[in-house]
Amino acid sequence: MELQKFYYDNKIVKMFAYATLFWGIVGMLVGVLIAFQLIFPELNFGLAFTTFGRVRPVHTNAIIFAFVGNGIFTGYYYSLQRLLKTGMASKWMSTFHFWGWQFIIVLAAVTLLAGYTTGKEYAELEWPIDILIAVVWVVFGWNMMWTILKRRTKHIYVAIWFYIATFVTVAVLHIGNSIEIPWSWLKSYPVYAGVQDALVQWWYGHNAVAFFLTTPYLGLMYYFMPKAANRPVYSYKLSIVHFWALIFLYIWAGPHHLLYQAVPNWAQSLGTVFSIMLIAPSWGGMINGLLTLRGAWDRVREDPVLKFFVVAVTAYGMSTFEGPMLSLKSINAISHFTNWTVGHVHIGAMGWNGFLTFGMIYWLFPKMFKTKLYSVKLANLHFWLGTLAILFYSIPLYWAGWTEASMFKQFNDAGTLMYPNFLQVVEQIMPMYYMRAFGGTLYFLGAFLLVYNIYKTVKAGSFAAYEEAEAPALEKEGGRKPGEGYHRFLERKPVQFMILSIVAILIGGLVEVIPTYLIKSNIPTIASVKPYTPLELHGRDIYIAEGCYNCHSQMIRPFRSETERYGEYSKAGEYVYDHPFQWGSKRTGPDLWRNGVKTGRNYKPDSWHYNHFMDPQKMNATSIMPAYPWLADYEINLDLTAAKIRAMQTLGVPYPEGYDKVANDDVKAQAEKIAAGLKAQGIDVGSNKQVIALIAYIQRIGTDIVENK
Amino acid sequence: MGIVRSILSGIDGVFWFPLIALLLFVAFFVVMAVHTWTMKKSRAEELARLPLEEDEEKNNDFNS
Ligand code: HEC
Repeated sequence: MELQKFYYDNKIVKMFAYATLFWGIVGMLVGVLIAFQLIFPELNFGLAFTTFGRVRPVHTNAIIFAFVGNGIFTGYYYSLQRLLKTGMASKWMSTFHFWGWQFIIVLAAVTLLAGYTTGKEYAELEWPIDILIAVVWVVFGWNMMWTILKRRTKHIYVAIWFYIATFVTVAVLHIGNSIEIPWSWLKSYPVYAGVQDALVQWWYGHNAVAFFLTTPYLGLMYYFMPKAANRPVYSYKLSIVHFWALIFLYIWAGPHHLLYQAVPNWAQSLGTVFSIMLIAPSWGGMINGLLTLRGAWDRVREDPVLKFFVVAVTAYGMSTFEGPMLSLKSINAISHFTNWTVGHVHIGAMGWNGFLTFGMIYWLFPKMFKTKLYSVKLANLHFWLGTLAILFYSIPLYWAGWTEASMFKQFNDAGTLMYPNFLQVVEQIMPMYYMRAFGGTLYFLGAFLLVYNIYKTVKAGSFAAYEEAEAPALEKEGGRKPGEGYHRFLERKPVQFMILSIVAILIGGLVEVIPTYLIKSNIPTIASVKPYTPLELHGRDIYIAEGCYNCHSQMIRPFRSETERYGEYSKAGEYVYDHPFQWGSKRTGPDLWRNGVKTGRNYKPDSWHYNHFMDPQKMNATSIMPAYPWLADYEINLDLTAAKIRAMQTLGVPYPEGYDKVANDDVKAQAEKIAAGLKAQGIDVGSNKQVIALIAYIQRIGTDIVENK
Repeated sequence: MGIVRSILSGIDGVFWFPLIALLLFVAFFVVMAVHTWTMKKSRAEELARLPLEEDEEKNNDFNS
């Protein structure tokens, strides 16, 4: 058969690889900064755009979408072309994908630091950027499907299915979770509220882990592991079965982020059951990866690439075992809201994603630059530094999580809380915060060694932007041939395959969300729950903009230890006007839901809140909350009140007809009352300042179901 | 989101949709799994070698 000549585009691979390194360094550096902010609150610098609440989302987004995202695309562009024996279908689409993605990252960093956020974890970017993401993502997927269609190989290797599943699922998740009503050029409210918003958010959040941090990386594993070990994957059959099982099971597991919280019980159980079942396919993947090295263990000792891969896959196995365990209600009751979760995700991020990326980069650059790695020794050093870093990072946080849980839940003989002050716990886990920051710094230094090593390798090598290859053309084929199995047929038909994957994930997602709309008893309405006043709404938007949800929860679980500490447990019906929900996922500070309840343990007067926002360490020397002095300088933007009210009305919040026009009167009246009260306490602050709105909001949340006099 | 609710609750027997979906899911998965496990061994091995083919060709070039 006649051979056709074509070219592999290595340039796009190189560009994404450089971006991976660059954003990796940035993302890790930001991570180190926020780790130290939790030890030295002065490192928040008293500036809005450097406070923990704004910087932490930059870290998480940078690691997930910039470091890991570019890592995915690096390995994807390299492997896709070679597995299909063709260049990319469209060069401009590849280039557009690259620059579009980097542009999104820059926009993300700027807007997040400027306080433009949706307030939903890992989906913080606002609506114009959401649209841009959708466009760039579709171009990426289009180019992929087109390339697959013009391939020169008959069958599609398992890695590519993982890529296809990633493309379709991330598209669906992103769109589903980003349906929002804009009320300004950079701000919007999500259409979902309270419980529904929480379910949709964690359907998204959990599956972002599944389909951004897991499936594409499994695809990379199935390509680069056999390449580096120079032997085929241990069991191809296992790879297929665990592929389908993963897609099917993952999509149902989201509610395990909401155990014991105000969501229907059946949804919680669904989350738990499917999470437990997930162990099987996850471990299938891990075993398949590790056994691919059977008979090559002697090489693992010498080759840093294989070493990185082994730890990566082992970390994958660990976190996918731990995850289901954390979905058991009894364990979740302990782990949730503590540093345990933070430890858990870093085994995944640093071990699985980080190490797989490092291994891949060490393997790719010498190949693409036709030379040897500059220093295997240095790479080995990186490996050991990184491994040590993961241990230093995670072990203290597990310890901290355990300490937190036991101290929070401990009662003395008199039947009261043993450690009633939240800061007693913070002080206790301080040493663990130190060790975590040390571990993070080690990891960061290791990544620097990688950059240096790659820099030297690049200098010594010579890069061919387009690598020549040849293969026979693929003969045209029709439908399913006699005797051909369905899966074999599917393998040849990427479009059908894509549609099937979409159907699979849509079903799971809809099943989770639809019933909350249908069954009234899922969210019992509470008559006394009323919409926020426009001033409180402004305050709520400030709460979101400052990222308070990164440290505070607004969700009291029905445990005696929590009702004793924070007050009456949360009811689903209390959150029906919360667009978006702000339940939080980690308690670095105390829960705030009943802070405004005047008979409650945690009630504080307006003046306390004012002083606390200005300087938390003045109120509590060992507090690690950042100071928010600018809230007393910046003004509430009254021009936006009407638009906010109208957006809320569109979403079904029952403000009276025409209220948008008069809402500012109510803003002023309520604000002046608060300012006058502060003045009586000797605090002189204008009633038009942001801090007034924030205080109004904090005093309001969670008070609708009690008599608050 | 009142619209969504009214559309959905207008469908007769919508309550059974999730259950049917779940069963479909399981059925599809079982078919897929059985089918895969009964795949011919030689064929699985052939597929598994796909990523390595490129190197093999190159090696052949070097050898000849
Ligand atoms: C770095 C994490 C962090 C961030 C970000 C943060 N806080 Fe805090 N917050 C804490 C800690 C720790 C405490 C407990 C110590 C104290 O009272 O200062 C606390 C206490 C509070 C309290 C007192 C609660 C009580 O019951 O004693 C309120 C109210 C509060 N924070 C509101 C906010 C608001 C509003 C924001 C956003 C503008 C915010 N916090 C941002 C960590 C944080």
